[in-house]
Amino acid sequence: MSTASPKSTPPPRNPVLVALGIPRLRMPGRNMSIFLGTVLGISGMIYYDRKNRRANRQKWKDRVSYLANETLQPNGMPRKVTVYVAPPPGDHLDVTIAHFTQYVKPVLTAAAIDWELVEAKRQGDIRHQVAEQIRKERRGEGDSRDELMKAVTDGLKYDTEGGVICVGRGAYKEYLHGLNEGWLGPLEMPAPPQFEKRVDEVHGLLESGDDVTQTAVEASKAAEAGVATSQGPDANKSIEGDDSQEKQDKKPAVPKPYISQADYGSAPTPPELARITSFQPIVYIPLPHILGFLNTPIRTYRFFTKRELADRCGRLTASVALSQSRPFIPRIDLAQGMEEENEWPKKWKETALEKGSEWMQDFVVDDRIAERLRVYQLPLIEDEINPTSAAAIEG
Amino acid sequence: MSFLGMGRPPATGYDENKINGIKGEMLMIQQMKDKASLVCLEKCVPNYYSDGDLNKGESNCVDRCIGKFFQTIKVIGTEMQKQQQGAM
Repeated sequence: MSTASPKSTPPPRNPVLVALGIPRLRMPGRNMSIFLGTVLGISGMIYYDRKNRRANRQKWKDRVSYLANETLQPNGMPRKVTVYVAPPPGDHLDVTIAHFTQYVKPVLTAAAIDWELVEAKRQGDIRHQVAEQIRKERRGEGDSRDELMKAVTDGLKYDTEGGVICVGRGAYKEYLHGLNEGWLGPLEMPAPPQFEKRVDEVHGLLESGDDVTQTAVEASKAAEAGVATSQGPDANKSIEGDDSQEKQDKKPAVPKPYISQADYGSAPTPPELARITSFQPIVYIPLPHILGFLNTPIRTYRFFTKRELADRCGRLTASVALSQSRPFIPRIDLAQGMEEENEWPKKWKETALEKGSEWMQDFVVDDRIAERLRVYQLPLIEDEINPTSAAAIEG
Repeated sequence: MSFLGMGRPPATGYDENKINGIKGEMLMIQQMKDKASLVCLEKCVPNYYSDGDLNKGESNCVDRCIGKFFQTIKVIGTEMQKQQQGAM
């Protein structure tokens, strides 16, 4: 250009650059390099993670999709699994449902398995529902269809396999507690003994006056008969008893367990249980969820490594789809999800322990229930142990 | 009351308007069924027919499609009713 010596001609310029009007190509400077490096680096990490997440998901979908190509008779119904979701402590239900939709649902749809999503809004919802269902079956009222439904559905051939998926440690605990409570607990609700305090509280409430006086009479009779409950639920009742009275116009509180963890061992085996040899197998889907400003580095790391989570959850759901299960081993299976529980907010855990909330009570499964339970798990697939080809490594 | 002394066929009389109304409803239901089958077939069942029976994936898909279809119709119906009532 103008700085060239008058004797030598400037080097021939690339005609393309001349046509485009770019005076000269330059490498970006220091600041621009930092900026581009950061932006492209982060985008690259996100892109790589997404691509692999999709690939992992697709891998598990392909493994189970042969199930969807089996013919279904016109009067046949597909297999239906029950999915229990509960919000993680300190957050909303949307988190769990988004997790389910992203990681569990695709594999279930690929395998043509129908699911029933049971949502819980409060602690104890799942436990109560599971226990109530079991109690209904024990009483013999399991079939609650009316005439029309009976006429319609009697000709259908249902798939009896079933299966239970618990998303998150809270739902897992509640499901197992509900199972114990339903089979080992009494069929009718035992009257809570500590009613004197409640009666004092409700002198003013006219609507609930009748119910309370009646149940107070029953309670005194029951107390004489010696219906015993252990310390935890008692404290629970006296504290939450007040709350439930206040909230009675808003919504009824979740009914307390009919039998507490300490009484599992001493409860008699009901004949209905003795007849059953095994329950539906269950599986626990991890729901990593961590809150807190100081945990930002951990959360950032998790944001960039969701492909591993997709692989884990896809594998667990594939085990449900392929019906591969092993017996329930309390030593291993009661500890499933401890890493999730350790991430629950500390304050939440402390208040829960004080109030005796359900999720922080002892996690106990009676032997009679444990010997009938199975857990879905895929055995190590040959290719995953000794990959022999590139295709095997990629799955 | 309108058929007395007008030479209509005996037995129970029938009201023209009611018959037309029922015919219209039947036509609507038939159209709805045709539309639902068409839409869900297009969405759920791929074009290569290897087998006469529907397989599990397609059955599930069709079930859900029809369920969503009727849910949508219900929602649209209530909205239209509301608008009509609002207009009146």
